[in-house]
Amino acid sequence: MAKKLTYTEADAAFRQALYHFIVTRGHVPKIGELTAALSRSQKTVRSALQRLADLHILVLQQNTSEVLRAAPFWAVPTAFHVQSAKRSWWASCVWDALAIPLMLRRDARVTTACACCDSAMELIVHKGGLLGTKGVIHFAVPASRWYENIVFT
Amino acid sequence: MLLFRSEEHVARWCRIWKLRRGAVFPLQQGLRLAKAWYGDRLSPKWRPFSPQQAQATLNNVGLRSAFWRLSS
Repeated sequence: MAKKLTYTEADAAFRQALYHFIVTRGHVPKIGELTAALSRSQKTVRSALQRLADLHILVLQQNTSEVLRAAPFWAVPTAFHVQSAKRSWWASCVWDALAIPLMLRRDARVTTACACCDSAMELIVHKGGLLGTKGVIHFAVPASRWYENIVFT
Repeated sequence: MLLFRSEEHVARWCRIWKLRRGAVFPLQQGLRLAKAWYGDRLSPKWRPFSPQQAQATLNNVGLRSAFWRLSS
């Protein structure tokens, strides 16, 4: 039986450093960028990322083990672009797109499109609220199955 | 979790992709969910939710039906 992982202070410190990079640089780092920014070996960084993935805190790309998702940030371009002042990020879904400005406690503009008709939609988050936006959110996957395939969810 | 212009667009999308309609709620509720789930994630004190905390967070923003039950 696999040993249950526990989130440690070392995990927390590494996660903080990762999120600091994402927030200040405006993108999810590659492993090479993290090794340089943290002055750690690639082996150490890969191991720390894998631990966070095993704890369901990160999602790693299947072929490279690079970070794909450090919720609510996404490493590669998606249909949800979040712009706040001079920085911008990608989110994989509307939940995460709304979360970015709330987490950062900043105003932001989410540029996206209706998933059905592809017409452009823009969400403005201002002082923690939404400005005059119409639209609805659809969850296709019940909560009990979110982690069967988090990328699809 | 996708964004649609209206419930009609959700229904059309479900027909096109031959998917069952899941759960639909307004953007404002999505904003409350995002804040409750992610609001403190940059804090050094943040720790992963326990299953009970995660369920309570969903329930506290009004997501209480069987669809939102984390364990089946």
